[in-house]
Amino acid sequence: MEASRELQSFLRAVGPRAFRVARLALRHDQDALDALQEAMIKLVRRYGTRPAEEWPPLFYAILRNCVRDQQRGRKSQNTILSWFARLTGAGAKEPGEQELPAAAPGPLQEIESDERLRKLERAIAALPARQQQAFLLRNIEELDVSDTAAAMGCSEGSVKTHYSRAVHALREKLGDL
Amino acid sequence: MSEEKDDETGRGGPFEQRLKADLQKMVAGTSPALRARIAEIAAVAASAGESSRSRRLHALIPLGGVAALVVVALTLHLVQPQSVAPAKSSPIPPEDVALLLDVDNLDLLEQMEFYLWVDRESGALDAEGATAPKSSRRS
Repeated sequence: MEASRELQSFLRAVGPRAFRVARLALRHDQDALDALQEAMIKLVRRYGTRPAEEWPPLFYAILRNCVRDQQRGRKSQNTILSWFARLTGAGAKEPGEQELPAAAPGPLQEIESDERLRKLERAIAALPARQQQAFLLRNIEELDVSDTAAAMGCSEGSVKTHYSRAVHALREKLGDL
Repeated sequence: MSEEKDDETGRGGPFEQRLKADLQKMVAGTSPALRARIAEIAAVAASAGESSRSRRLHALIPLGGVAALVVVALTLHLVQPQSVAPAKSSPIPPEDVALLLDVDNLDLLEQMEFYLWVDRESGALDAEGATAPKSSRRS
């Protein structure tokens, strides 16, 4: 019972940050919430009995997979839709031209009026997946290099490389802010 | 080489510090509606874990019952023949054993051969007696 309360408070605390990580990767509120829910349920069912200090890297490793599944699902959905559109003659977009859904306008956008934050969000969303993960896990969740490596399923050296490439790419895009 | 330097310092330069601050602002800027949804998701996930654990326990109850029944059945099967078999297969009736073990009747044991001979003879006489009437009728 105590462990369950501890787990729930962990999930409540990590939720908003994890949502932001998923949202930046998926660029869609509902998709990010779906990935978040799936990751949370999997963590509770599979690793709920593990020591609390192991939860953050485990949770982000699961979330990474859930985000990837969402992206794959969306990709195949887009392929089917574009094939159907070509078949019926409606909309002449090639599959390659299909863009990821733009950020859905919602309450988040109403609050995020700061242009700089939006620029940053776009720049992070444009990073390659691994660089994005390393950057977000280190800066949003403040995981150390070894926990980030565990969450990403790679070596600590790779985390350092991905992270510094992400910082360089962002510096190039955003200037010195 | 300079790529690794950014990370090795741990703290990062002023640019990274500003990025980090902006990211924290981004997280803090999550709308109350979304925060409520996230809290709801966390609660659902936690309760889903609880229910799956209790479901697993409920699933174990019939399994445990079946296992207990199997153990009882096996025990009965293994124990029963041993306790019943000696009574069935014993060639000496219990009253004979009591007679043999009686200390006052030691002469019975001493003259066992004699009594066995008497037993055989009387059996043979009985067999002859059963066939005798036919031969007497002929003569």
